[in-house]
Amino acid sequence: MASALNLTIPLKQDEHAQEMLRQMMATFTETVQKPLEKALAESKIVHFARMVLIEEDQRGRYLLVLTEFDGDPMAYTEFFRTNLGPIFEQLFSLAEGAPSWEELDSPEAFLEYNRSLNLRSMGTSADGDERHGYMFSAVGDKTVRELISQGGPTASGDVAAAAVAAA
Amino acid sequence: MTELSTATAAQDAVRVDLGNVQGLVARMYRQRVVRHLLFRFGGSAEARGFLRGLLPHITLADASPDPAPDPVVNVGITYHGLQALGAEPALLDELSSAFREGPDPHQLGDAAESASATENWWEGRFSTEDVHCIVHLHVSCDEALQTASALARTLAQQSGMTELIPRIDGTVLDARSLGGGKLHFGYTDGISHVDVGWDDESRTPQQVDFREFLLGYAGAAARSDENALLRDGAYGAFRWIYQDVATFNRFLGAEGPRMFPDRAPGDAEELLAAKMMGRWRDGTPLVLSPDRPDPTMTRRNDFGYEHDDPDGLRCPFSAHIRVVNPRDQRLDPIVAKKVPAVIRRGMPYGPLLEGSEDDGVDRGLFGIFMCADIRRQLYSLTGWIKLNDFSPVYDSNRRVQDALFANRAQPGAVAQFTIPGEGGEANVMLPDFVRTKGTAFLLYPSKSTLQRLSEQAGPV
Repeated sequence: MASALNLTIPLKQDEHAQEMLRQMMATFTETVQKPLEKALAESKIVHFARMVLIEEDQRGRYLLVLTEFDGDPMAYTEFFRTNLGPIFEQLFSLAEGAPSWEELDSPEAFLEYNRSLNLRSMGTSADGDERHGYMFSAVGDKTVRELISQGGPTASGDVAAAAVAAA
Repeated sequence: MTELSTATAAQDAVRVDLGNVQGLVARMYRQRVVRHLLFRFGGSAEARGFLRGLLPHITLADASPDPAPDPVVNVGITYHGLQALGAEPALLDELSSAFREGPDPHQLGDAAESASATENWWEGRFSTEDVHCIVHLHVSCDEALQTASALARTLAQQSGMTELIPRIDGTVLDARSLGGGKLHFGYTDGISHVDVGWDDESRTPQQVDFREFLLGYAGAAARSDENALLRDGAYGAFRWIYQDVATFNRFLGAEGPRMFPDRAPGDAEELLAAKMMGRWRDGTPLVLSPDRPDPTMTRRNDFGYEHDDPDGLRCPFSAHIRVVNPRDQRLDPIVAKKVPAVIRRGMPYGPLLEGSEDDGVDRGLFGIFMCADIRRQLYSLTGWIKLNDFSPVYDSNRRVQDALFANRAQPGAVAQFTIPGEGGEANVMLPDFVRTKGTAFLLYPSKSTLQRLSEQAGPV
């Protein structure tokens, strides 16, 4: 079944980083959302993806990148490093304690850093791999490709991809 | 560290000093007998003493493989072994997390609650964490085996080490050639080994960059010798794979004539065996000769799939060689841009079995699969074996598996083998033909790293 990515990025608290965060949020739809959606649609392995900011006292504390995807985490993260490198460079430049992008920009280093930020879901894994924790799926172990080929979600997925391509 | 590799690693052109690389990594030795001795270290000082004693006997890759030295001696060390040696933290930090974490059964396809599950490895006699090093002895004959074994065992005994005996019957892991390069299912081995270019300036377009296999030439290690403590070493996955010959022969006998009723039963069995491998058992590629083996083509390696066999009419998409080396076949955008390669070293073990009645004897293959990046290379290939979901050619069913070497208990997999044909496709359900009996991830350190490991006294 699909795997969950619960990327939890602790944010730098200095004024410069917080200002960069505000700028990113102000332009998110154009600079992050569109290229992200195009890559996700092309990957054909991502079920859902969203980003959430946790704020406290009007300051960004954590940025969550939450996705559910099929298959191998290495292939998954490597796809995004090569296809969405500038976005992740921007995200990780806001992260407290992150290595420089020069250090992160390799398959092994990028995967390792993502693993270090990925929180395990609570509970008992349904897929037998206890590193994952519990995740409910109403569609069993159906993959994105299978769901697309069977109709239903396919149409909306194609429409979304087409919309992004046309934008 | 050798002067040559140290001086030039950070620059564009590198010529690997093969005198610093263990022979097993760069050379294919053709001795007929191999023994793998598994050890657990005692104290770290004694373990370093073992390495000091073994080092002069280690065969390095600058030794000619033809005729091969006798014995050929190589050593691989696990992460737990490196810890037990008291390896310095800077060296341990250079190791990839996949190596540090050890064999991951989920990535390897050794499904939980199957016969290949890790609790069944090593015949239940010890755990993989107990394995600290494996000494590989390649020799010409049994007399040489006794001499070489005595050398390693005496050194180990003097160093307070424990030899791990991985079989209930008390025997160790010996392999002997079956003759003619044959493996237990009757296929010919050793045809399409990776051709590695060890010199940047003379590497041909057909050769694979040595950086795919040797550590210490990428990332921080390429920029600084201080970060290159592993340079000229390689990772290797030692796999003990049981082959169920009786089940395989029964399967061919029952399904061959059913799948290919127009052929005589013996020919039908051979064709089904060829469809599962992608080569006839003599080595002839199906893509080049789909109807019969051709003695003039047994070593041929000059073919592709994208244009030569796009529909799998000659070589089915799940045939073993098409799965582990899809050559020019289109890959999904999500997977690596190029087909991952590993260096394979293997030798069959156990006596031949003919017929379809199992004699209860252990037989199969000891394989060592070497690379510089366990996740990107080894785990990609084992992932493709357990589930054929890496190329658009599988779009009609992405839950099928490698026809020969996959674990049928893999969650989400369908044990169905599809053979496309001119008149439509035929399907057959596959049983388990193999079982994993043990796996260890080993570092094959360079000569200079072995020297460093044998001398240093790290934190204990």
